[in-house]
Amino acid sequence: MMKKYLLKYLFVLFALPFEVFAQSSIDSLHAELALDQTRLEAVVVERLRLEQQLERHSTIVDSLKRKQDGNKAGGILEKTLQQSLAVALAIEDCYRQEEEVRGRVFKSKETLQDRYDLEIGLLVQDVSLPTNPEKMALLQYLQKNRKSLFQLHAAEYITRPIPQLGVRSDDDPEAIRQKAELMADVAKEVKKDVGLIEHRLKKLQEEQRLRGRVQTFSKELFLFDESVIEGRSVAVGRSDGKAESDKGLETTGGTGSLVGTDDGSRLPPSSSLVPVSETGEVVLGREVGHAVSRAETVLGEGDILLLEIRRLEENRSVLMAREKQVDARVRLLHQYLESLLGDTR
Amino acid sequence: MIWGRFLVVGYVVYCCGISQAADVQAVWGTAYDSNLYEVATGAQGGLVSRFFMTADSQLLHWNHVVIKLQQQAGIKRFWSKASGQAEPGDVFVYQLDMQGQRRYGSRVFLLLGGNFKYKQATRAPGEESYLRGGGQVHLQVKLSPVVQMGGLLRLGADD
Repeated sequence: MMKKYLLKYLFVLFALPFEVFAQSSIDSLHAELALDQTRLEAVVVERLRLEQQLERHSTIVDSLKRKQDGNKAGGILEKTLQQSLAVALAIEDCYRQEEEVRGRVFKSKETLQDRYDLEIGLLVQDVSLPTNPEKMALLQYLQKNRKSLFQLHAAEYITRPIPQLGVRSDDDPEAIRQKAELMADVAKEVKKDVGLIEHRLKKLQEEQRLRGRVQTFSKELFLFDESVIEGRSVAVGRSDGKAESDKGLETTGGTGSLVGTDDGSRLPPSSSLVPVSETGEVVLGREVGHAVSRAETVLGEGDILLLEIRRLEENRSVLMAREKQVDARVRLLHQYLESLLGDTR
Repeated sequence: MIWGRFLVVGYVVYCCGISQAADVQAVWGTAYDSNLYEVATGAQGGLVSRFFMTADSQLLHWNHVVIKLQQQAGIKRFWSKASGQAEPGDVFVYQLDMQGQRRYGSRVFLLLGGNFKYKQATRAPGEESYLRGGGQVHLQVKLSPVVQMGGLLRLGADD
């Protein structure tokens, strides 16, 4: 008895600091992620502001080009073009920073996801999990947080604006070439986003496959009661047919009996601690509610993962359609440029 | 009795056919166990086959109400006889889980569940045949994203 309590005490003693450490580690990773996300938002806002500024400069340049007043307009045009160049360089810098921070955010999310996987794995392995509502609640909380990690990231791909650059009548071949290059860059970005979604999809599909296998295994285990001692075939006597002196356990099916204690530890058949009746049956406490409580966790468990996979698949198809659209525009711009250059030759 | 088992398996498939959405899974596997009857001394290895069918179906899905049904039927067959047995044994199991979920707003969640299980063990040493049923009511209230409160009432009986 003392040994049992000592073991439990030691487990609590070792498990508690680990849980506290794990929680603090997750918290610090979340804080880091929140900081990076704030940085990312700031960079995106700055980029959008600069893009609007560049658009204004572009309008001014267009209007100045149409003006006939040579000297005065020329001076302002030159100044505006210089400002546009500075803004364009700032936008480029913003893009670079954005990519850097976006990469950091993605990496932080992956690290967090691994951390959650570890925590969930440790909780799932805990034998007291089904009977401990606090641990069940913690498991649900961890699973929910883990699933919500990449939701925002996936949404970002779809909401990211794609510039649709058209050809104006006053565009020279150089301007068209720049537009074609810009659209090619956009196509590359979309392709990169598709790649990221595919990477995430592969991970989720693998997770779903593994979860399916685990569910199948646990279904089998619970159906045949192999998770508890009452469902395991325990023979008495040696396999060579020499029956042991203990007649307490009959080997006839249906009324076969069990040897064990409430906490699942098995005792030897000859142990005097086993309550054996006159008919040779051993009665143990049956976990009647066991299967019902299992249904609570089994039913609908995989639905969220499946929904996320479907959502990502839809996002991927939307992005692939966009990729095709942008590629077609790039080809169109190149064709137009080639035809324009052919005419000038 | 064997015909009864086939009838139960047929019933599982039939019930899936009449429900709104169903998912049927059949699993068969044979494994070699180095200590088939888990004896302490003189372990005897042997083959054991398990076949089971699981049918998940959704009987009802309204806005905030979901009723799900899970049925399982399985057979476990030992291919080597235990000591003192004339022939190897087998185990037949049928299980029915029904679960209804009702959500009140975004914070209150009511779950009603019922379970019925029948197991028949023939010449499987140590395994019990039984018939059992149970039910539970689970009320859960989410106070915040991390704090939740709940009450669980579980009743059951077996024979």
